[in-house]
Amino acid sequence: MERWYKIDNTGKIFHAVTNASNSSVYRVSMIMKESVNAELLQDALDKVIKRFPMLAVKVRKGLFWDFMEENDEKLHIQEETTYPCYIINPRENHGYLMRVLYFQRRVSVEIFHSLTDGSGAVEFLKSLIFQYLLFQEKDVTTDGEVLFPDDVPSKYETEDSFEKYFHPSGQSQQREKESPAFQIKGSPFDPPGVNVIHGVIQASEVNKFAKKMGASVTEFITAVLIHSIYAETMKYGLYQESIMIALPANLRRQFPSVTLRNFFSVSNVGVPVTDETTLEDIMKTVSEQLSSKMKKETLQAGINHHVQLQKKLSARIVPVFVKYRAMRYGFYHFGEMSKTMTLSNLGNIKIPDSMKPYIERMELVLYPTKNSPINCGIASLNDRMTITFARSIVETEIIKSFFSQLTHLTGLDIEVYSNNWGEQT
Amino acid sequence: MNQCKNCGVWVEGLTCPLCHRGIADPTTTTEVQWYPDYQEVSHDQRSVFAFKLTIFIAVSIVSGCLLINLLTMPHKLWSLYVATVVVYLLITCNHTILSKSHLGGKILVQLISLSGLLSLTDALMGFQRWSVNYIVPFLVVAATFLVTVIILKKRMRWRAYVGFVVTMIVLGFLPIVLYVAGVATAIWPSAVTALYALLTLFGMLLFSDKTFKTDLVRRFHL
Repeated sequence: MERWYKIDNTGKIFHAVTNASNSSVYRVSMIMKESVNAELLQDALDKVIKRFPMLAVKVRKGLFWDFMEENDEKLHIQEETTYPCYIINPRENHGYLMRVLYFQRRVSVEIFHSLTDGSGAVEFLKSLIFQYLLFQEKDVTTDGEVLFPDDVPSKYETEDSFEKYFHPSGQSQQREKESPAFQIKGSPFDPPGVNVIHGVIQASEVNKFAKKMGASVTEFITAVLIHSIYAETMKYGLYQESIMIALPANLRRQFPSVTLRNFFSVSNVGVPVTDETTLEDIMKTVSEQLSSKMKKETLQAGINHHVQLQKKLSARIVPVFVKYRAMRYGFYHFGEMSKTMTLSNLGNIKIPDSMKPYIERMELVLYPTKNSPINCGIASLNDRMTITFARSIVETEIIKSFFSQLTHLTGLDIEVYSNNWGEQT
Repeated sequence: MNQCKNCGVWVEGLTCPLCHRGIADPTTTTEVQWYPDYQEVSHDQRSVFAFKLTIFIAVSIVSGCLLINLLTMPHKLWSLYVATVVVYLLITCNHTILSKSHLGGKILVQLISLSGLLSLTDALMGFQRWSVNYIVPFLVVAATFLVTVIILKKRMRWRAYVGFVVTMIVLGFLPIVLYVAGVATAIWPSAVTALYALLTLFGMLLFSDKTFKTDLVRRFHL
């Protein structure tokens, strides 16, 4: 009998809101130093997938909630042919809600967000590459930084940490009625698709520069982004809305957990920008808001609120298709309207020293949505920070302004490349 | 690497991905291919076209019949009969024939749409209740029987049909509800359908292994 898993607290929303313009599929990639050997990658995947049972699943329909069930079909690697974050059709993928892709030197894992968050995806990718290097007979060791593919999965890796840290009697944070944020408008690509622009910069120097400015890397980049959005889209208009950046936070940092399922929350930070607002002002406000929203008590209240919502009997006994409709309404009318853009920073990814010579760097691609047509993902590895903008619209002004400002401010070299979607004649 | 003088960033090609301007005085002309050359992504355009075509044909038939109906005999709206049949055929064509839906889902949709078609026809003819008295119960029994046969045939993949057979069992009590509500007037077909549903449930619980019960727990978890 196959094992099964309830979909975790955050994961449920992705089943409700996924459609053609919102794939809920994100990508983490590692750029290797050499071209990928497809045969060895498939062998590595065959082995590693067993180590991550909560990813090797298919979704099944239930009356009150859908659920995940063990999938023992083979997951085939695929050569990359479509744009990043292309919607996953389980029927064409042996029921899997993830895919493993390769192209030249890049190995990518694309995952439907309901399965796991960025941390879970990175752990999977690290193990996959570790096993791949082992099959290449490279002398690599885990050094406690990679989940060893031969180990038996721990029960703590499959736990729903939202349930674990939920305090029924604890303070619950009622979602404040957030006012609508400024929304980026543009002309959607025809045919629809996702264009990605990557900028590669020296991570340690960015970190040093941010510290000099009295901010963390995420705060610094958020501030530059807000400044760019204002300069390119709001400066000459009459807008009342603030620019709000949604920043996913890894809850494992505050609430000890080794779960490989979703365990994150999203904090919206925003600034009402005017012509007089300087980058330093924006950075100060962002830092203040972030430190307040990342307090353990605030995050705990958020966990309590979300789990309580799900546990309400009135919500539980409603058929899932009705719940999905309600979730979709909330997502599109409140969640999506309260942010201008999402910026996710995976931080500095730790890998064993023995693996470093074979890997150049990492990329994170965050799927754009209809109301958030440009999103930004950051990942650092081997002192190389890759800032990736994924967009579903033609306009590039914000991205251009962001990289120009970053170059101008830090004086660092930024290497830029793109998949050119929507730009080929 | 070449520097874009406009944006200040370094690029490998001869065009800047940010401003789309050509690089002035490039020092290198070789370009690393980071992504594949995309072929046109198929969005299953043939089935989208077929869907639109069937909708267009359906609207044309219904509106044409309605116009003829109103011009020739406005006192008797016979075009409504045509409309119900066209809607049924539209569902049959787009869901039962063209879609890649699960076979169990197709049977369920056929049960609902055929019941709807015949109930509406009955209503348009003065509601003599032959649809709710006999047709709907018979269709529910037939659909339940069909799904049961499929489950017995597809022993390896029967679990995919559990949800559908459970839905059919629940629907098996619909005729009796209609009778109690006074919509249906003949008791025996409703009673037979309810009994058949109960026997199907009992049979599933008795003859299937633990898997059926476990699957029910999963599908009904709160």
